[in-house]
Amino acid sequence: MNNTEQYFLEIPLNQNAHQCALKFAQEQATKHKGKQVYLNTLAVYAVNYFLEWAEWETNLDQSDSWNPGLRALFNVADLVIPDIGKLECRAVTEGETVIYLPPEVREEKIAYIGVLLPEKLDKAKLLGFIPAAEIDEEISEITLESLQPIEQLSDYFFLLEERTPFFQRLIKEYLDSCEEDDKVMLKVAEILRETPLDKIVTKLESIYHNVPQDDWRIEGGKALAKSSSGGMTSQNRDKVLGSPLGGNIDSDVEAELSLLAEEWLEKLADFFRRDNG
Amino acid sequence: MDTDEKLREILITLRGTHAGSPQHQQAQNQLIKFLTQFPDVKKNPDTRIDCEAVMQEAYLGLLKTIKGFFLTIDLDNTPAPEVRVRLIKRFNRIVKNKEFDEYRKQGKQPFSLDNPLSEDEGNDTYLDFVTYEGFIDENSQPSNLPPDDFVQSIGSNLWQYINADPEGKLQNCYPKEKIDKECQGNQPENMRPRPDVNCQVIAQRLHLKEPPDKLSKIAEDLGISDQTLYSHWKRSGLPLLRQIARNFGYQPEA
Repeated sequence: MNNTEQYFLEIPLNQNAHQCALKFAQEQATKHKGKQVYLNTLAVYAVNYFLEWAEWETNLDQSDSWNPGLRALFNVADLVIPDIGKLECRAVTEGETVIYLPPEVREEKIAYIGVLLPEKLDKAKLLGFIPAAEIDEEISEITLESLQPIEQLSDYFFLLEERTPFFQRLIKEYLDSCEEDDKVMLKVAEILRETPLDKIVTKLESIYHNVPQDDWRIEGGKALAKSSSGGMTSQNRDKVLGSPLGGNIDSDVEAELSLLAEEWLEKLADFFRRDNG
Repeated sequence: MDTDEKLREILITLRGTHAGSPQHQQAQNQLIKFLTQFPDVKKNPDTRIDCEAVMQEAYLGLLKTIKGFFLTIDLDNTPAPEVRVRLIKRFNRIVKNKEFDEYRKQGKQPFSLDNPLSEDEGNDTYLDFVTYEGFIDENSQPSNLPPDDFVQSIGSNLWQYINADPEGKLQNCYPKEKIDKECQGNQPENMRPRPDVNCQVIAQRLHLKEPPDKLSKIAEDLGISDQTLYSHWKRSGLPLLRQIARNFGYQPEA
């Protein structure tokens, strides 16, 4: 970010925000965990406040951060945006230069938002966001410099909103084309049905952004296979892929997934070109 | 033809005509005219910004991105009132985005720190209520948090559950590893269970310990490959733990 862009949206943290954060913090097993939950709650509150103002619906009740059990165990600060996906709102304190991403928050997110909570906790500053597709899933830290301005978040949501039906159409086309006696296609179809759509979108977009086109086929196939296993119970996975824990996915299914991923990535590239053009 | 049907017709014309053509321009003008008369369209009363300019920007923004809207809706088969609702929703979001842009350009904040908390909370400002100064300081403890030994909360109940694992769910969830690591495939005769690397042990070290251990450190300590542990945890351990925690959240507290 250069100097001309050093404008950060400030969200007042009022009594309601603090009461909610305190209530959640008091449910925790230790003070350390209580503090973590307190800050996470304020971060989610701030992003929710902004999005409601910006006319985007949110669903706190569907968010892990608002589930008493999940927030008591995991370091979560997510916020569900219906029909679009899940945001992760990470609190940053003064002096910190990176956003820490615990392993439990690195899946199934559409973007990460940095929320600065000054010591006085009277307001939150939205530092920016980064689409999940633009970072590696294994990454544990995001530098604040890499964040995009928060005013671009609505445009990103519009893009996601437009891409969802795009992928839905691609999946439907494939499912419609499945032949009853083609076992490989049927297995692939089952994988696609079992995998959450936002996971497919995020994985393939990540490849689109981060992987050279020559590797789209192999990496795309791996991503689709991984998406399915990550989103299912082991029993489901065994049923679908016909292999025990950690077993090899059938090579024909893998090949089909790879070809499909490559075809979709090429269509995604066309989609982006049309959008930019 | 009612207003909603007329609006749908305008949108269909917009979708089906070339940008720059007289029909397209006419449809654009009609669309804007329609939008100005819908009561659901949001207008900002804030005198600190030029709201008319914001609306003009928003109209342009809508027209510029209308192709994107067409991707999200089946114009021909969606009921006309729903088309209107969704278009206005999109437009209002664009208005807000342009408003925000205007505040940003002027270096102003949309939300004043001195605003009343809400209409039914009188004229107090939120600053009157902030009593958590210093909370972030690791050495200071907020006085309203109960002491550690007093807590009987969902958090401590859940932590106790994980430590006790009364149903054995966590201890019975563990990976298998290859005996001969050079051997391809996962033949049953080449696999051995690792009950010592069970989900209770991992959950305790990842989520109950302060500071938490990394998976790679746990793998090293327990003598199992990073990849085996990572795959097992991601595929089986984490979903199991999430299920336990989620269900715990819905139980009445002890």
